[in-house]
Amino acid sequence: MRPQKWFLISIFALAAIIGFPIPSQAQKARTVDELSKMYDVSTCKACHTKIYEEWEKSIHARSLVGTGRTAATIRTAILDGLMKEQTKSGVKEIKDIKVEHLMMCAKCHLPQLKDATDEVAQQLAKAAVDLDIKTLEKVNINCLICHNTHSIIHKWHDGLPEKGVVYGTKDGSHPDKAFPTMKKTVIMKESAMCGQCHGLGPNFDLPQPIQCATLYGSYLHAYIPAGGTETCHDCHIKKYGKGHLMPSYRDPDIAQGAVTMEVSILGYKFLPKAGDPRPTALVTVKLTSNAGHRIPDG
Amino acid sequence: MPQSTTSRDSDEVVYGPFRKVGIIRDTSLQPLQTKEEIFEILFPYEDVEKEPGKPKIREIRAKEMEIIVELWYLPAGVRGEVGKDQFLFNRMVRKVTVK
Repeated sequence: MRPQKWFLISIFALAAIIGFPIPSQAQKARTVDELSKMYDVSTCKACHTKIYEEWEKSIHARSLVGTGRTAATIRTAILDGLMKEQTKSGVKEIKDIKVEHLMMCAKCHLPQLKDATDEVAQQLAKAAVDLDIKTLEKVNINCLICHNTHSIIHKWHDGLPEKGVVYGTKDGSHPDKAFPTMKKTVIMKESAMCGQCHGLGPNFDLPQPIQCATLYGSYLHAYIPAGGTETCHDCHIKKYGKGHLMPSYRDPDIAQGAVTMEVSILGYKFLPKAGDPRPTALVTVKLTSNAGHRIPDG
Repeated sequence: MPQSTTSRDSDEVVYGPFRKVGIIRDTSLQPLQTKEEIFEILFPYEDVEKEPGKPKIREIRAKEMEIIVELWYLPAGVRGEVGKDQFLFNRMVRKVTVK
């Protein structure tokens, strides 16, 4: 073996033995707390207080818990899916779980899991199985997901999202030590922004094609062909003044706005056969959807 | 709701995003579309024998009804706590009479 190659192998072996992280692993979070710290957004609150407080109450801020159903479904996906029905998953116990297994949920519910080690996937899987809500709430879809990691979809046009940049609707400086630059992203006000996670159907890019949200698919293939012209933002952020709360059916304004109900009534005596008049109230209910997607959907 | 199978040579609808692939039937309220439902509700009546041996007379016990129409969303398909298991989308009250 040539001397230079032998020297390089020795260095890496030495690094592994004495515990220095191999460069590709050095930046990955090893615990849920580390991942939470890596994606800390507490400094956003000082300047963006209203937006932050709206977001804090949103389901995005509890993306692994949801309304309760999300945590329960992740639990079932692990226990019934990975460990039982999906016999070729390689998962029999929590310790077998890798990031790639949890990505079936995390692709949308916690995309930043890609920056974590398999240990974090196992910690989160255990938290889901135990319904340890406190742990599951430590990480979520926060400012950095929409305003950094998922800000660019045309990567061959615009490159990759850059470290230290907050993406939005303006260019300029940004008074935050960790994110000193603001840059405009072309997709911020597009429905495609939300469509990245809010679903087209089965995720065929995954080894096991999970199908959770089909809402963006309904938007593209039913709402737009029916003549729809509004974006997700129009209804879920602007129209009802909900901002970064971005609510859906749980908010009465959104629910009422989503469906128009018309009721007409006729009172008469129906005669199914001679001598048998039935005094009847005929109630006709028409439901018209004003939503940008099927109801229900997610 | 969109109803999905596993797309594993099966026609059985399943629950759980880790099982669903595709849609076999969709009964959802589609965007910008209208669905109509018709309900027939009988006024309370009773057939009363006024005179022995003669045909009974149909008497309407109440000629006016208050109809309450409520549209609820049940995320898990079962009723329960309002604001947790069921959500009210709309509510209307109408009066109806017969002569």
